[in-house]
Amino acid sequence: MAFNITVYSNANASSKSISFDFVGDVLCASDEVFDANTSAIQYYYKITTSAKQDNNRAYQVKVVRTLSDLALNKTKQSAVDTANAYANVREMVTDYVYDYINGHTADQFTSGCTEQRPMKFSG
Amino acid sequence: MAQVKIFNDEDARYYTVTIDAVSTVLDKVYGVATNATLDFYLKLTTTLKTTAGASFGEKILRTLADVPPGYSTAVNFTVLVNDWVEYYIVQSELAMSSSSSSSSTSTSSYIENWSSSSSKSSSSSSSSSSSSSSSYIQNWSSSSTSYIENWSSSSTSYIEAWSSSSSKSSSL
Repeated sequence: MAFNITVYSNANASSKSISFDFVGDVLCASDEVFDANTSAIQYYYKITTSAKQDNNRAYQVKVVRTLSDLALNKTKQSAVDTANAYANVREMVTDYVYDYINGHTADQFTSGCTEQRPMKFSG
Repeated sequence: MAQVKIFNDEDARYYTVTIDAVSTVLDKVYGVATNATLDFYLKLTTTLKTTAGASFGEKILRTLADVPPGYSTAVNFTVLVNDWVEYYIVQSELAMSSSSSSSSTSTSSYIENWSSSSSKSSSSSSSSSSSSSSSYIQNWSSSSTSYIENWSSSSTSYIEAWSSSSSKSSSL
């Protein structure tokens, strides 16, 4: 059971949805090296949306394994210039939704992230 | 939703630990009176019982510090879930048990629409195993995900890792 965040644009009278799911998958092609002494199953939040950036590019699937996985390149929060881990799941969800809606510039808050355009509500 | 399936050899029964991503509206935040607000958290439930036969009830996990009694703060969600599974198994005094895990994404219309437009990004995988099977992995199924791009080439390492993981649980 996942939950969806619906974002409504008053200016465009349209809504977009962001889905947060908690899953346990086998990450055979992840960036993590398998260790025979650890579990092959990884549990994490998986964030998806069918919305597009305002340049019509789709959003990548985002994976949050820990509350230290911050929205900007895992190193900085999106809404404020801080490298502090999210205090709880609610803060994590709120900041990721903020990032989806507002986007960010390349290297925002010197996080080393690539640019992400704001969410597109028109058309 | 993620679900851990636990087989107990002693009574030849399966038990589950279910972890859901949940949102709800609170009229109070963490016991402090304030305006209504949305809250997001994990909800843990299990079909396992205590040795007295009582239910463990729901566990609400808001942070990585919401660990079982006596455990240290988890470094990520994988450790957090594994700690709770271990806690439940120990508290239930299961013997000779093994565990497997599966997950599924939401069945809401939103996900279905997303699947039709980009199945690569929204698909999920699941796996299951039984310790009583002579071939060990009794039921193996998966759907392609963006994370499992070379399934056949990496399946050997997966089985090795999985076997190790299961034997770790069996020692309980």
